[in-house]
Amino acid sequence: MRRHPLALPAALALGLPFLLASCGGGPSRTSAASGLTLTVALAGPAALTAPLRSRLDKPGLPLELRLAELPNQPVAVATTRPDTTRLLADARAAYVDADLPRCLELLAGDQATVALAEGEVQLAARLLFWRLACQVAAQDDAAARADAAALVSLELPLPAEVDGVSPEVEARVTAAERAAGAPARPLFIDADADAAEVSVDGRRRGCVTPCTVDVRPGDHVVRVEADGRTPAHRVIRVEPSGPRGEVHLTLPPASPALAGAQWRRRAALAPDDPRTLALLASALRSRSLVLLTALPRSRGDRLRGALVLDGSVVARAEWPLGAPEPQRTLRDLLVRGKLVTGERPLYRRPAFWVVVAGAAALAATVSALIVFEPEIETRLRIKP
Amino acid sequence: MTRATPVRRGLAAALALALGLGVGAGCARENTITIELGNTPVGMGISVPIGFQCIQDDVPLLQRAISPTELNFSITVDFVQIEGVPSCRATELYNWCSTHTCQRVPGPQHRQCVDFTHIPIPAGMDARAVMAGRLGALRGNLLDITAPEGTVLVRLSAAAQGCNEPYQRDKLLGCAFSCPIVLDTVHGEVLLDLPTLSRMCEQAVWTCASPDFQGN
Repeated sequence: MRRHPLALPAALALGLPFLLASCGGGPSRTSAASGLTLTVALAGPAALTAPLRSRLDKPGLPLELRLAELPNQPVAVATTRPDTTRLLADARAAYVDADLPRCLELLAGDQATVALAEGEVQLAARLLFWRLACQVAAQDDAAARADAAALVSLELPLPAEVDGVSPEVEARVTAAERAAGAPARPLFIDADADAAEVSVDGRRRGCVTPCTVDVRPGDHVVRVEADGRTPAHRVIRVEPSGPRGEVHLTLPPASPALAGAQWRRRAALAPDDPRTLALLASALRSRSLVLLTALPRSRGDRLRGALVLDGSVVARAEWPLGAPEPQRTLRDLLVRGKLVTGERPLYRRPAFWVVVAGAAALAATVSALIVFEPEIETRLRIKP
Repeated sequence: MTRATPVRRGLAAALALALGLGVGAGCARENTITIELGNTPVGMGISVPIGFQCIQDDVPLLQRAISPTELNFSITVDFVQIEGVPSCRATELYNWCSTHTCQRVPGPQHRQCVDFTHIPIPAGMDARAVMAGRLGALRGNLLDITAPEGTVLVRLSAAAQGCNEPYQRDKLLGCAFSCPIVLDTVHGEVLLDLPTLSRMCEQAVWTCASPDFQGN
């Protein structure tokens, strides 16, 4: 088959852009958000994460990296609450010794409320019960009536020590139960955090904010807690009649220690859940966090990555653990999260379009030459 | 002064090439065909195609152009359009034109006629030699004629009549033609002659010089 002499140049001209495209070409250009520090946390078996950690120490990323340890160790949280077990023992001893002022002094204040806010229902019941016992013994009728009503309205169980006190104490509680005959009243609970978990009188009510629960008229301890927030509680009085009770709570951001505790609790159940990752970012005080989790697999270990920016998971990826280099893995994740820009696509490079235009012009010309038949001007001359 | 980047140099070269090719593509190509006349000697070192040496009743056809002391004739170069591509063999060509339409290519641009009038015959000079000399004078000349498209015969004929006079076969002096050719595809020489083995060839001249290439 005879080829047209211009066929090869035409093929070259048409193929040139694709040749260039296949070559990629051009150095990679990465622009990073200036001054951004990326926190990198590694999770998984130490045998897998140790090599990663050493390789991540090498520079090569356009961001400043900060390797952080996972908040796996519980942090001792200082508490201002006194040792209530000791306090109750002292109050009981004062009651037995008929040192009623001492007993009432020990049990004064809102310790029961605090205990309820922390879900210590039994403790709150004992605190209130012994104070009631001391008030009954001290013949402080009004105070005894109030504490008995509180025990009833809070639906607190009578502790086992009830057999060790005067029968009049239990009688006070029974009388209070009889007096509290009013039906349950609605209590609307809301907070500045969506889906915050609601507890009333130390018991989880299976609802999240905003929600309404039915409670007996009287004082109640409402507690609301949410991931990444510091729990808040408030004592609210629910009247036996009139408008429904309402309480709106404000939850401050959780401290890193608290966020770490919340993360540990959630990570045991759903380690890859966005809220879990947001808690980790909060615990590590990081606005930009990458969690790299090494996953042992029978078909080859894997490395799973998640990028959390300002509390939101913006990118996830998973690669074989061995390759590529962690820096490239991180870069891939950052590009997916649009934290940095990766290599510009070929079509966004001016040189590409210059070459395309040139090749198109060349191809068009060559094609025109192939199909164009120039006019032939034939002249005749008689041979000399 | 800034230096051109490799990309810009490459682009400039591509555009220059494209421009050059484009300009080249826009130009017409010139093709020159040399017409070679058959060389049958007539004496005195002069040769003409045998189609110009035919005799009729022992009288050369060229005699028709001779007045006692001068010659009056015309020489015509034109083309005969034929349908298809028949063989160059004379009998097949004639048979072809009997079953197909063969006709002179119309239009003045496809015909060139030169009048030779009052050509004196020098004393002692053979009139045929004078005419052959005039024919020979055409050699080397570029014809002012436009080559037609398609398959044609190139024809050279002479008649004892002027260029503007209607065709009369009794005035014919001689004729020669080429094989069927497409002129735009021919490079080099094209031979014009009359395919005959004898000088008794008046019929062949009639056929050759007739408008329909059938002697009519």
